[in-house]
Amino acid sequence: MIPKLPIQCPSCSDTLQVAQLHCDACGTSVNGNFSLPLFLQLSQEEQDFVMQFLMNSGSLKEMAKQMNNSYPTIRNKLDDIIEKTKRLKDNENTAL
Amino acid sequence: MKTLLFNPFKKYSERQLLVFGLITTLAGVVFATLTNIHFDGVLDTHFGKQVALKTAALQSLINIVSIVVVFYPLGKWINPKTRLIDIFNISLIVKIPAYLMMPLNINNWAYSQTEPLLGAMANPFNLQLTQEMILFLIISSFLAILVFVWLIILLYNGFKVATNLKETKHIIMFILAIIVAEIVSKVLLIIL
Repeated sequence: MIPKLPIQCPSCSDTLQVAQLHCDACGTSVNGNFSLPLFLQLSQEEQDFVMQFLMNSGSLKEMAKQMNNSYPTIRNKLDDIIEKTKRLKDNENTAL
Repeated sequence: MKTLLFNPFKKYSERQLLVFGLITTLAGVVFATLTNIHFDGVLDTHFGKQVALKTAALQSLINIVSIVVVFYPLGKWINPKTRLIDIFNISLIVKIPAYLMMPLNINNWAYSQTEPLLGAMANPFNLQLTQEMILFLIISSFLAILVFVWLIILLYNGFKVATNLKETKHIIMFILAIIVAEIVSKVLLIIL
């Protein structure tokens, strides 16, 4: 089983930050306070959706067929992810 | 099954919905003629004595047009990505629950029950309710509520999928649009 990357604090639900990066080969660790990339701040389901969108060369019709959903359902899902990404980006810009 | 009955727009492609909608609409027109039912309004169903094929077809067409001319511009305003085909499919599918009323008027049974009821409107105290009339009132009331609720659920779910409806103000506009579509259909029925 591949463990899921947690993106929200289990205690207060705020977005988690990266505090440590570790090299498995030499054991070096880098400590700091790094933000997660925008893509990783999406939920696993949303990430899978974006990945599938990419793999289908952006064809929503093809995705609708594969996911056994109607075209507007898929388009709405994509619009919702775009909205969320914009919000995350705005939050990031405000934090800077 | 729940999706099929209440939100087919979420799952089925526009082509599947269009074919299914056209077949059921045409069948609806034919059976409305055979069972003498008037679908005279977006929300209305009335029992008649004799309904010509031309009348049934015109009423069906008016219902479709009334939904499209009201909900398509509203959908475009809410979400510019709204497609005409999705709204057109909604107009074809939403009337399906109303077809449940058809068996009630086989051999004009419902019409023959409503005639004395309507005739006694002026003097309701003189009305003699037979057991058959009471049975009709129970069945038709139950079916009317079921049909109305089902139709509204289908209309709402269809419009929600077509426009990605979310905001409360848009939901209020959707409710107002139902009333406007009903008025449009009534006006068109009077004109044509």
